[in-house]
Order: sequence, then C-alpha cells, then structure tokens
Amino acid sequence: MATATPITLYFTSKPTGANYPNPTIIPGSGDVKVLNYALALELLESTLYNQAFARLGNGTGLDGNPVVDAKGVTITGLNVGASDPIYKYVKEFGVVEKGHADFLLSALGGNPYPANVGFAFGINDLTSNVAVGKLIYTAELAGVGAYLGAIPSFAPKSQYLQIAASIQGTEARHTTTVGIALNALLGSSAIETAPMYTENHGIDVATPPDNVLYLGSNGIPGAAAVPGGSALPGVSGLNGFVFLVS
Amino acid sequence: MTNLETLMRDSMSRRQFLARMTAAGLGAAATAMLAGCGGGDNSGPGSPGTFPGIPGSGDIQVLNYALALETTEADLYRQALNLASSKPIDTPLSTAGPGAYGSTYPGGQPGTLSSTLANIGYLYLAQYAYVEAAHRDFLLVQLGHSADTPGQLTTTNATNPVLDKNGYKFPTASSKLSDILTLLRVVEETGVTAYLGAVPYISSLAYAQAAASIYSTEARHSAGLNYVLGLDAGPSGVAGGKQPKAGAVNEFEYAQTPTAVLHTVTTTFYK
Repeated sequence: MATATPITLYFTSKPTGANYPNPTIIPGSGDVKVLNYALALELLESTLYNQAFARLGNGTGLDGNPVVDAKGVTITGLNVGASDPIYKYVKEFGVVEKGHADFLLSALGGNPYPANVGFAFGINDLTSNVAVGKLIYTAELAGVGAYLGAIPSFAPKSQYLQIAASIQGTEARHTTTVGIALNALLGSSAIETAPMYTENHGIDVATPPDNVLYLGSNGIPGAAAVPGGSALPGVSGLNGFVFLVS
Repeated sequence: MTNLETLMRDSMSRRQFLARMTAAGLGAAATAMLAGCGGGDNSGPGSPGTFPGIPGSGDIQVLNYALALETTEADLYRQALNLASSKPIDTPLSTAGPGAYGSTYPGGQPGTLSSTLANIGYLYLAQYAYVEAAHRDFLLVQLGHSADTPGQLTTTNATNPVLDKNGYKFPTASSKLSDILTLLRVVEETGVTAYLGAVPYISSLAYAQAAASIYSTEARHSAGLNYVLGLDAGPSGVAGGKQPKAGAVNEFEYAQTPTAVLHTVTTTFYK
C-alpha cells in the first residue's frame, strides 16, 4: 500500500455500525486476500514472539538487536534465564512464526499487505514468565481459530489451502505446548491444551476474520474485548494491540 | 506414515526404533509398522488419489476416509486407556466421562516417565480417548449415520460404514504407560499427516474447514504426547514426509497421501 499517512488500527471499543474491520484494509480478492490476512496474523505473531523473547531475556530480540514496539516503547528484559520453559518455547516457536511470515511475504511477491506494520502489546507491563506465556498462548489459540475461519474464503481446491493448513497445525502444537508449560509452572491443569470431548465435538473452533481482526486490535484475541485492558486472567495492564499500517 | 518413513530411510533411526520397541515388547508391531511404510505414494497434491477400501466418491469418500481414521483412533485409545487403567482390554469407555478414570495415574508402571509426567500423560490419555470418540461420532453425524447428540458418545458403531468388522488391535502387550503413549503418539502423528494429505481432495470448503478443525486437534494431541515423552513439540524432521511447502523441520506440518496411510493403518491396526 502506498498510503503516506500511517493508519492506526487501535480501538478502545468496537465501532458501532461499522463493518469492522474496513474490508478495504485487507486488499486483494480470493486467495490473495486470504494470504494477506494470513500475513497480518503471522506478522502479529512473529512480532509478539520477538517482543516476548526480548522481555523474557535481556531486551534484545531474536536477531540480537534491541526491540522497540509500535508505540516507541523499548522492551526491557526480565532475564528469566535460558532454562525457563517459556523462554525456551518462545525462542523456538518465534523462529517458526518468522518463517511463516517470510513465506507469506514471498508468496505475495512484491506487493504484500501490510507493507509496513508494527504492533505494541504492552509487554513491559507483563512482569513474569507466566504472564508473557499466557499472552503467547492466547495469541496462538487465536491463530488456530483464525486460520480455520479463513478456509471458506479460499478458492475451492486452492493450492494454498494445504499450505495454510500445514501452518495452522503448527499453531495448534504451539498452543498446546505453551499451555502445558504454563500448567506445569502453575502446578495446575487449568489451561486447556486441546478441546474437551464435550466442547464442539472435541474439535477446534473457527473464528471469522472480522472477529479476529477486531479482537487483535483491541485487547486480547480470543477474549471478549475490554477497552484499554485485558480480559485474560493473570495479565494486567495490557493495553491491547496496536496495528500500524503505512 | 511420515515418522515411519524416516525410520525406513534412516538405518540408525530404524535400529533405534526397533530396539526401543522390542525392549517394550513391541517388536512385532514395530516390524509390521515399518513394513507398512512401503506403500510408496508419490502422488502429489492435486493428482488423482485413491482411497482403497473407502466407500463413496468425492467429498463423501474423503469424509469416510476421515471416519475410518477416527474410528481406528478411537478404538485404539479405548484399548490403551483400558491397558493403562488395568481394565480388560475390551471394556467400553465409561459413560461417566474421562473423570471416571481418576486424575492421577493408577497403574504403577510408568515406564520411563516421571511420576509427574505419568500423571499428565494419563490425564491426556483419558481426555483424548473421549475426544477421538467424539471425532468419530461427529463424522458419523456429518455423514448422516447417527443423530447429533453432542457430548453423548456413540455406544455402537453398527451404522459405521468403515468399521473394521474384525476389530482393531492395539499392538502392544506392554502395560507401561510410556510404551502405550509412544504408540499413541505415532497414531496421532499419522493422523496429522493423513488429514493434511487429504486436503487436496476435498472440494467443499465447508468440509475442508471441518476436516481442518479435527486435524488441528490431532496436532495438539501430538504436541501433548510429545511433551509427555520428552520430545520436541514437532512437527519433527521427517525425511520421508512431505511438507506442502519446504521449510524448516518444524515450520510446516507434513502430509501423506491416503493410499500410504490406509496401507499402514490396515496392516498395523486392523485385526
């Protein structure tokens, strides 16, 4: 997109009467539109992982450089230590998510959306490995539902359908693994690692794109939107996602 | 079978696998599973596929394929849960739900698992057993073979068109929890590759969405069992499996075509 002025997709409440998000925000049609949507998701996730890695570690990202979020906040490190399970998975899965984003950028050729995007997660407000892990878990869980929700938008028998599914399966693994690690840290089994048999026939739930983008821009994806705050238990002070496009 | 194809092609892995499985009393099963990998299925996405032995055509055949997988998985899980909880192997799942099996591992034979991991693994075993049964029942409903009764497990498979009439064999006599979960992990990982390999044959996007929704729970189960067994979350590097888009070993899930999966499943798990 060649828009000169950055567009800030950051809402404190769902715009009433609007078909949110503005359908023109995700450009293209058919498979291209879906790939652009997937790219937005993967950029969000890979950016979140990079900021989470910096937060859990010493303030530097997966590439070793200092990390500044889209609000201009420099991420500070908690130095939880390399043996911390959340740190370990953030490091491992962050590389995978960047790989997904890079693939989609490549698949979209020279005109991807969003061409220049940034996110802020208020991650400096998260003061423990558990709090950061919960944010990761929630974002991954949203990714699982988001990919499923995008399937009806593909062209039938699209060549990208299988690739998208192959990405989505890894999101499912990440969700489960981080969930288990959180349960282990909390001495609990409260975080669900897969749908129970009484829930939706024991299968994952699809989330329509509009809902994903709305939630992703306001509070935590997958949770009811809470203006300016977080609906995720155990996470406080979170300011929601800021989604900048220029 | 993606994992197994690795074992087929990697002699060191194969030796290690056979040694481990033999130590666990699973030697015959392991050999059968490796033999089942010779199905040689090089058809790529979009090429004409066959679902040998699966009734129907078009999307219905794909759904029946999924039903065959879930019917097999559900029965293997049921047997595995019976083994782990010291019940007769053919005991039906309790109608009281997974909670009926207790929240901690009662068996006293954790194998290589710590007591903590044995408890987690046993919890997942019970939970997933019901989930796989729910997947089977979901597909039976979608295919019009039974009424939709969410949360109510189908107690009979009389209307199931792909039920193996001779039953299913859980190919281990070992009651060690680590051995039981090791086998189930292979079953789950196979399920992941099977669904992904079936995607190119589905015409209806609604069915594709439903299948993918089941598929990702199989991926979650795989990750859960991998955690318990001390393995990477996956998908693991598999030389014989095929990623739809080549990437790092854990970047994209792996696919197998229906012919290869069905060959392995029927030769390994059908009586």
